[in-house]
Amino acid sequence: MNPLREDLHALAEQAPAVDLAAQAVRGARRRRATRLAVAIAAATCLVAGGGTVLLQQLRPEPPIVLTPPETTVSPLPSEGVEPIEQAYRPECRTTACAKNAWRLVTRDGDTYELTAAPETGPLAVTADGRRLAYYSSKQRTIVVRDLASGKTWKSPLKQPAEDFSRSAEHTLRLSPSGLRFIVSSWGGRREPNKLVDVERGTVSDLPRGWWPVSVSDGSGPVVLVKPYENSSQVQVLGHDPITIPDFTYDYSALAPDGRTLTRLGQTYDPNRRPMVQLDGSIVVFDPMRGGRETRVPISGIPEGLQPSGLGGWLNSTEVTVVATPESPRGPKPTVYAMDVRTGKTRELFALRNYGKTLVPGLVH
Amino acid sequence: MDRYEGFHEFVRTRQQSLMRTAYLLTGNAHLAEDLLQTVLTRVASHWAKLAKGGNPEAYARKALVNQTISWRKRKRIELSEAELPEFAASGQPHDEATVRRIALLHALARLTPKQRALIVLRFYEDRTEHETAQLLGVSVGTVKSQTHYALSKLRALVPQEVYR
Repeated sequence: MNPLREDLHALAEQAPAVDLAAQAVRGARRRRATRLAVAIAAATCLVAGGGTVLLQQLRPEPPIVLTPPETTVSPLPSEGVEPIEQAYRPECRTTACAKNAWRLVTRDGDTYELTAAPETGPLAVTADGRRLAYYSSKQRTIVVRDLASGKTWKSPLKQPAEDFSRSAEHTLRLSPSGLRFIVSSWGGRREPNKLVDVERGTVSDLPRGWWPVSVSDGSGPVVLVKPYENSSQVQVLGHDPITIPDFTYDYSALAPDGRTLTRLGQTYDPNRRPMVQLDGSIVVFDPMRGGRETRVPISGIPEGLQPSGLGGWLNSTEVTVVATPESPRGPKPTVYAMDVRTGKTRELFALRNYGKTLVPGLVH
Repeated sequence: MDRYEGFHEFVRTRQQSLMRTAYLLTGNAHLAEDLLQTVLTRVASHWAKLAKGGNPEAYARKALVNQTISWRKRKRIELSEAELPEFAASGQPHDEATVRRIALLHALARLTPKQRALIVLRFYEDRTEHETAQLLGVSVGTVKSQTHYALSKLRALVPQEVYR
């Protein structure tokens, strides 16, 4: 056996002993029960529908033709576009639609197709929905575009398309104005982690291995994190990192006060599966000083949905929360505004859930 | 008849072997357990069909690989950067193999999920290039080139440069 095989076998022996049969059967039973419930509901609808048809035959009325809802999609105009509420890339299970472009849904309900962004490159929208940033393979750089005025800014950093190839992972994190951002990718041949200011035309290197969470405008704070096995380090650039007791990527952007960050609360229990679970709370902490954390239970999110991501701030106390269904057949994923002092939420909008979805400002 | 008849026996005999693969694919005991738990739930859901004429183990292994690749971000765990203590619990200095394996664990964490899966399938499970290509849903040419690339990366990251 060569050393690599030998070492892989030795490492594999460190895997802990498990006994997962009972949990797997419980999980399968839950899935089956959900499927059956949905089938019964569908059958009930069919029966009810059939009854309606019979009544209509007995009492003839002008036929009502129901057509399935259809989305009118036009190419993204060069200017005069309302702020974006959400973006999605239609689900695709065949090669025929593999090149499906991103669709942008504005707050007043128009849907546009963004053909300028390549299928594998990053796309990001500022938290206010007014500016868009994407990789242009033609210009070999990130382009920021103001949707209302049509004005564009080109990143001074030239990047080959391979930085965003399918084998690499990438993140494009925008400041509130979109004119300052972090672009990082890893897993490919190059692993850039750069802070770019398109207004000043500057590019600076960020430390390797740190994942971008938040970037402010001008020369404001930049927040990076580095997860370890059971903890994470959080660093506001220029300050010493602090350590938090969770392995997580679920952070919000930095609050407008510049010293408050939040993350989704989680629990660790070796007797539960999975051992780490989101606990429906939000943890408010100071990323510069660390110290005391405040844990606030999130309320007002309906059963079947679970807070699963955080994003930008709407004002000094409200942060956006994305809640996703606990099972694939659950309610539609929905975006809420949450008051970090009380945990109370108010619904903003439901996501279309037609495939890969992007929420402006979401930290993901 | 119990819908899950035979499933408990399958899990009892195969879970540790699957867990070892899951551990190599994730590099973390908690994630490995979550990964295997997810996959076994799926196996249990399809158990009636798999037990009749399917191959539950092949299905589970393929699901392990696919699931770990789709858990892309979760895999970006940094291993502790703490230095290895100068002496092992026995009071003896760590042997060369232990130091090399820790370096390998760190190096595996730097690969993409797909490259990591390639290394595990080719050099831990001893799969052929053809089998690996089928499991990952890529061409044999991609398996060859990506294996070469992943090995080069491992060699560069493991200071002892032993993986020739």
